[in-house]
Amino acid sequence: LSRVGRRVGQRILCRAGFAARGQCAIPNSSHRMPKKKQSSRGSRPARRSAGAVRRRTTKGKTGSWQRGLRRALPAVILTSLVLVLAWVLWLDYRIVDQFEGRRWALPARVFARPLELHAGKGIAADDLVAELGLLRYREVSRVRAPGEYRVSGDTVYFHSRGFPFPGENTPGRLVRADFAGHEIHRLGDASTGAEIDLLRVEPVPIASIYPGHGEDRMLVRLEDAPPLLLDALLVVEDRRFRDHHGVDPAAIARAMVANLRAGRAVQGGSTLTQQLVKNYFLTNERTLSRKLNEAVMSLLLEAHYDKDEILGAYLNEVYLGQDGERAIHGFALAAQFYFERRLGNLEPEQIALLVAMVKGPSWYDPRRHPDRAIERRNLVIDLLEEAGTLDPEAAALARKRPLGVTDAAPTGRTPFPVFLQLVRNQLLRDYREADLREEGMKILTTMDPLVQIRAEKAMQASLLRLPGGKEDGEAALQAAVVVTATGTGEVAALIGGRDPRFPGYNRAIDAARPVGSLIKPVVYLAALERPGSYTLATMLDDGPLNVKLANGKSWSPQNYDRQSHGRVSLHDALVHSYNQSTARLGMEVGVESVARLLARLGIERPVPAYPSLLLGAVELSPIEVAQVYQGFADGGYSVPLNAIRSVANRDGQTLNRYPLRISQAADAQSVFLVTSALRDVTLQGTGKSLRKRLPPGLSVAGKTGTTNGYRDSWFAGYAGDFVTVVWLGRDDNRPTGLTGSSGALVVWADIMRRISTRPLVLDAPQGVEWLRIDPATGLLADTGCDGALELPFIQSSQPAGVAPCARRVSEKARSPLKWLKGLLN
Amino acid sequence: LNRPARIRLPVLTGLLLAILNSACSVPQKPSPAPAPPPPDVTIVPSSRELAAETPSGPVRELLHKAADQYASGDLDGAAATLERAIRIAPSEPLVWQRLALVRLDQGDWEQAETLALRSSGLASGNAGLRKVNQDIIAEARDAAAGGR
Repeated sequence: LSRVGRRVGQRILCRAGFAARGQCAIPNSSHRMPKKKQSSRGSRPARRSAGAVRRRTTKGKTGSWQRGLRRALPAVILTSLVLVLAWVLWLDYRIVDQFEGRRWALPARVFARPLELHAGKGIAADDLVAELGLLRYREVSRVRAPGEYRVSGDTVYFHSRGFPFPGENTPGRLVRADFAGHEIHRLGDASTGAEIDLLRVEPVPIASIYPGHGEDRMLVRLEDAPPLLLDALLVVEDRRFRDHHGVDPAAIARAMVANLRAGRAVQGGSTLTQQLVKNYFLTNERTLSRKLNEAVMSLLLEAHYDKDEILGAYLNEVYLGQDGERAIHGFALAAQFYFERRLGNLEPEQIALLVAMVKGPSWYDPRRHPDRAIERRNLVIDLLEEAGTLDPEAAALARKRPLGVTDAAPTGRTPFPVFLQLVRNQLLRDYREADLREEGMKILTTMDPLVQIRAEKAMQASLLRLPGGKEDGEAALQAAVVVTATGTGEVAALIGGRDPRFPGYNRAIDAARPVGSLIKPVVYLAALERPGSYTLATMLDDGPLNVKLANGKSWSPQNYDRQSHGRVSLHDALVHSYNQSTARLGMEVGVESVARLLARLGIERPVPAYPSLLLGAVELSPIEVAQVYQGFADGGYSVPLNAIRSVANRDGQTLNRYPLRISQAADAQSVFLVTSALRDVTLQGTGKSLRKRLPPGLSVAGKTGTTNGYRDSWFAGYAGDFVTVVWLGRDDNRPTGLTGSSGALVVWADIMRRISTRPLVLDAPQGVEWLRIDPATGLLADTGCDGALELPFIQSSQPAGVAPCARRVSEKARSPLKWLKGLLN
Repeated sequence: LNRPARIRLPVLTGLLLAILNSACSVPQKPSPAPAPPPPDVTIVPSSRELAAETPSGPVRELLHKAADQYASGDLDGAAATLERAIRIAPSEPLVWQRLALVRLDQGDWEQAETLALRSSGLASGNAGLRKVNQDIIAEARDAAAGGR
């Protein structure tokens, strides 16, 4: 019966495209044969006899009930046959669907950037240890196995696990890193003594994107599973696995006898195939009909697939534990979940424990019930010894070893939900949601967990020190932080609110707020791009102004201190963030060109070119602000901010790379002038408190931003390695009482102090020269001038005149050429 | 410059291969800077000084690897390796130039030109490097104009 059912089922499955490859290759004629036979023997005579029964029963008056029954019997049998056939077909459909479909459902794994180590790298020993901690390395007294480390003075020894990713498949190695202060002094292979030029540590897994049903698993191929595991499974669970056809009547009989003797269920007779089926349809129901379904499905499964396919599926399907909503499936994930080791690196007693747990993962949970677990583990070791799989010495040794499980289970919930959201947003441009959840993709992101964690700590600590920063609840002071790498635009860290673990409203991406004075560098860049008209020494009028608007109204912006500062240099107007002179400059340059420059710097949303744009009446999210400042940090080159480096499929083949693509948004010389002024903001201007907040030598450039009524407090800036944007404000838009300098700057400084290892370098590009300028007149100064400034100028745009203070100095002190030039002009 | 790009491209590619390999065997260090240092603002060392201090080990190793990938025709792999080098040393002009070369070979004229410009912007003290960048830019512009 099952064979006929299977053939018919096979045909249906073939038509529906469900069956395994090769099974649909049978010519159609051979399929039709049994169908013909079946119909000639079965249905047609059946219909005839059924009609005959009806006719005769109505016609015959003396027909006994026995005769009637005998005549009706074929119809009853036939109906039952059809029902059974339909049932078997249904089971067949379900089990094949499960086997073909579900064995491939794998969550996507999301990884941080791999840490690159080399001599000279700016990283402290503590940082490396922190990274190893995130990778769940264990501190040991002697490093032997992958995943172990030891710290000895200024030296860290660790055994890397290898780098199993596209483009590089390096094995693990025993590494010795010698530190000198905040730098790796020497990096070498501890077993050979050879120097290591460059080592990529395996990346920290930061998140998984699970299938809808919460199943988590890591795949292992049958040929990669430890032989001891396979032997142990067969010895303990199903000795006749290689011989039976899915159900083992002898085992069932043996179990029944044992259970009868014990008076309770002490032994099961399920084959591995039955257990696999049971795992596919995991319920706690223990009814006879369920057992029958399982048995039939097992027979069907064995008819469709060979033993190795079934064993391979079993290894990855079997349920071995629970972590909140996450179900732990398969031995590879279980090895990680219980021992934080790869399956291939397990000790014999650890394999025995996993096999022992198959019987009841929660009853024998080694973390909650270690006594039960160790008892059953040792029973498994006994069985392995009896079967000759383990020799007596090895078995004795294994029995003496502790369980070896790690104290706390690695959690399946991501600690970085905010960054994950950015990753998902980017992925969903190229992939379907279902692919993310089930295709087992490996996603290598740009997140630097050391930077992320430090930025989180800094944000939380400095928020508490700010006025109003301690209140919690819906009206609390909120924060958003974006940290990106200079040069590449890779997002290193992202904070979406005051609680970085909370996956809710992501202010770094979704909250668009007025940017205030953060816009000013864009206005000044638009001016300085015309070196014939503007230099940093150009004198501006900071008096009151009144701009007639298109709608007939007028716009009269005021300075923050409500004072006018008379004639000020362009440099000073930016450094002290004067509104009146900036608005006047912006009107001269043209609001349109400022809006166009914003677009060139990577702002995709339409920006209305109203005069109020010049003072930041444009709403941008923190990540958009980071995009703009990235362009300044990269000398006018704009690179789209990026959270993902590459995506690989489950086999490790690269599906997609997100390559570095740059465009020139502004010329490098003008941007250099703006950067030098933004550096001065942090030394003399609105950001001068940074001088005492940052370590000496950490030169930075940045700008404060405050919006009307102190609703938004911003600071955006950069050093040599990172661009960082901080926003503080409230969700209900109530005032914070904070300016950019009293609020966001404090958080910004605390973050940069902890993450930045390279200062801003003001290395003038070709065609830019530094000159000494008298700030009062904007003319060339000399040693005789008090308070003279060093300012960069694009060649042939330097001031023509010499300041009055400089004329007191002897002629020799001046270059003849400049002197001549001064005369000619 | 008047010669058709069709002829020059393979010549340049050959040259690039040679450069890629030579760069690896002979570590290229920026030549001593002829330009005077900026006055009074050397709070921190200049990028040139930093570049000289930076151990050439990791970047050179990656340049080696990229050259091998380039030679074997794995241009995507070479680009990925060079991007890795940029992450380690974002102000090293040589790496940006190598990436420009790979993009040129891939027919990505716009990126080739921009990357070469970026390289030159970082190589104020290295005329030889800037010359190669100029060649890349000219090549990319010709090719783009020729609609290739």
